[in-house]
Amino acid sequence: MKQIKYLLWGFFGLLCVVQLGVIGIQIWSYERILKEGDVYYFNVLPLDPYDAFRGRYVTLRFENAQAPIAQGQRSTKYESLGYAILEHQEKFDTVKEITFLKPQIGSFLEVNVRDDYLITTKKNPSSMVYFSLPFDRFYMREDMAPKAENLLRVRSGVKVKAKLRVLNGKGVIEDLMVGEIPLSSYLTK
Amino acid sequence: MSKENYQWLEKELPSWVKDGLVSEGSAQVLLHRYEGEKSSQRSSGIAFSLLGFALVGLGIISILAYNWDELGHLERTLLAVFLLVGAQAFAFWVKRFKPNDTSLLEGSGVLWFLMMGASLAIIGQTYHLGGTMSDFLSMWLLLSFGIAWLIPSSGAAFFQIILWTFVWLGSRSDFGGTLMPTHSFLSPWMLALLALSWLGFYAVQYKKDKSANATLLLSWAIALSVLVVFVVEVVIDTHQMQNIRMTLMLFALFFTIYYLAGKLYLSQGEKSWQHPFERIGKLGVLILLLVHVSYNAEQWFFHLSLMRATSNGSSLMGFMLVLVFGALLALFIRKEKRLPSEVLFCVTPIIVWMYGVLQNEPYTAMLFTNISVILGASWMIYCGAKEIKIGLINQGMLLIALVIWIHFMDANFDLVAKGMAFIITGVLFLSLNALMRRRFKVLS
Repeated sequence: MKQIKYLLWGFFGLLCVVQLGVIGIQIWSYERILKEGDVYYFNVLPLDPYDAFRGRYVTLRFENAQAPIAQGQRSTKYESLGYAILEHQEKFDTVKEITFLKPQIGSFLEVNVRDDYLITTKKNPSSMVYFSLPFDRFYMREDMAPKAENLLRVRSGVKVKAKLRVLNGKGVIEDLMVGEIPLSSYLTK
Repeated sequence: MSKENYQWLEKELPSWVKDGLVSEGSAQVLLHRYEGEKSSQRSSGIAFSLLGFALVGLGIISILAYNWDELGHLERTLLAVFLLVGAQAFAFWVKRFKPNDTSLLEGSGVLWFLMMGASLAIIGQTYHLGGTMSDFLSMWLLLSFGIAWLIPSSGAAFFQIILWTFVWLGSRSDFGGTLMPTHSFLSPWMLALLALSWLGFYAVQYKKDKSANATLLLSWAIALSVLVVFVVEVVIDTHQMQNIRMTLMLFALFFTIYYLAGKLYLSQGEKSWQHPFERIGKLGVLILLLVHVSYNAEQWFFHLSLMRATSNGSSLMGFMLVLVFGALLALFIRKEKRLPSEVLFCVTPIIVWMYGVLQNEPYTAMLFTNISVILGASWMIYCGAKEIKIGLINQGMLLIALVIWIHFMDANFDLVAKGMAFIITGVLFLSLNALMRRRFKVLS
């Protein structure tokens, strides 16, 4: 009986450690990306839905979420994980190409490639693929998110860019920017 | 024994001892005999504790969902860790120093479960993590697994069962798209294992103290969760075949099994809300029977069941349900040792099956169902009058009244005629009730 009691306390401790471990690892890995990751800017089209647990957020639809497959590589129907090779451009940063082998150097991001979204042409079958970036939402204060959406709906000519930090294939959205100003500051102006 | 009955016994016993009806020792034995049942009934403190902790936890989640941009990364991450560690420490303190305080045990389990979700939500909003609601709920479900067993807390298990049901629904391909955009990362086998663990926990709690409010709460959660999962599985399996007959047959079997299981094993007290399985089963069976009573419904079925193909899945499910139904019916008849007063609810699958057999002759099928329902309702009234049970009489009369009303709605009578029908049956209902009450009063 005493042994079962000790075992239960052991499981109690283990559960606490696992829960804290998952939370801790998440915090550590995302903080590391934010500190050490390269900065990229992508154009986004925000929409404002609601999450019952995490509050209001702006859904991010990234422009031009399609890219050519890297030279010498072919996509098979079963591959869903790809690596987007990122490059800096003058106006906004883009995905140069998609590779299915993990790159050893440079800035790249893990993306989900949809096999049913292969863009094929007669000349060059399966040359381009659609992909989805691993982040699709930016949480904002409850009263800010609808304002952000309204601002972009009225065709005010305001372009919003997502500022991403990328490190070893993982990325975190640092902020949404209007020019050089964070979107939240822009809205309170 | 209910709390009220125990209090009555406690009040009466001294006068019985005084009159020499029972000895002092016997009075103490009697009080002691029912004390355990009384204490298990007296769990309103647990209910309030559960409600209180659940509200506090949900309130914290709601406040944090505001997304306070005044808080930086450090403050937010510290908050996530603090909430989780706080809930864990509180659960540890309760388990270590107040192991006999059921209210605190239940409450700490609920708080721990909710704070796990709150911590994940804060991390998600702080780092703007992608992924769907299903991913978030699955992670929460996985990380909170074990809380209910370790404390132990039926309240935490209640929330976990609800969470599990949402994750399961999200993982079903046909429904997942409607409820949540993508499927859970938990495989069906993993979800099935989690479900087995809740069933195991429920069995232990039921054996330990079946009349406790916390166990009753768990019963309702399991009864509703199994119902939702069954409905979704049946709809997924049969909607392509458009075989409405098979669907209704499966539902008839399922609800009757619920009713019989509730009557035989899963009853947790004297009040009607203490019989979740029986209540849900009876309601389902009643709706199914009344649907078959109407002639218009028959025409509707006729159009829908032109394609009578059945899938292997639904045939196997039907076969298993027939086996369980047969076994439970045999056990129920053996227990009752006579024709049960609510025999109509026990034989619903047979009525629904016969209706299908007679489908080529719509009038005969409808007539068969109507006669079966009226006979069943009359038997209820007869048994109610014999056993002096006004509730049973009312149930039978209500069924007959519903059958009459359905036929009035089917017929092309004008509103005045329909209104008159309602008034007449209502007056008849009230008069018969008054008459029966008077008769029962004279008899008693």
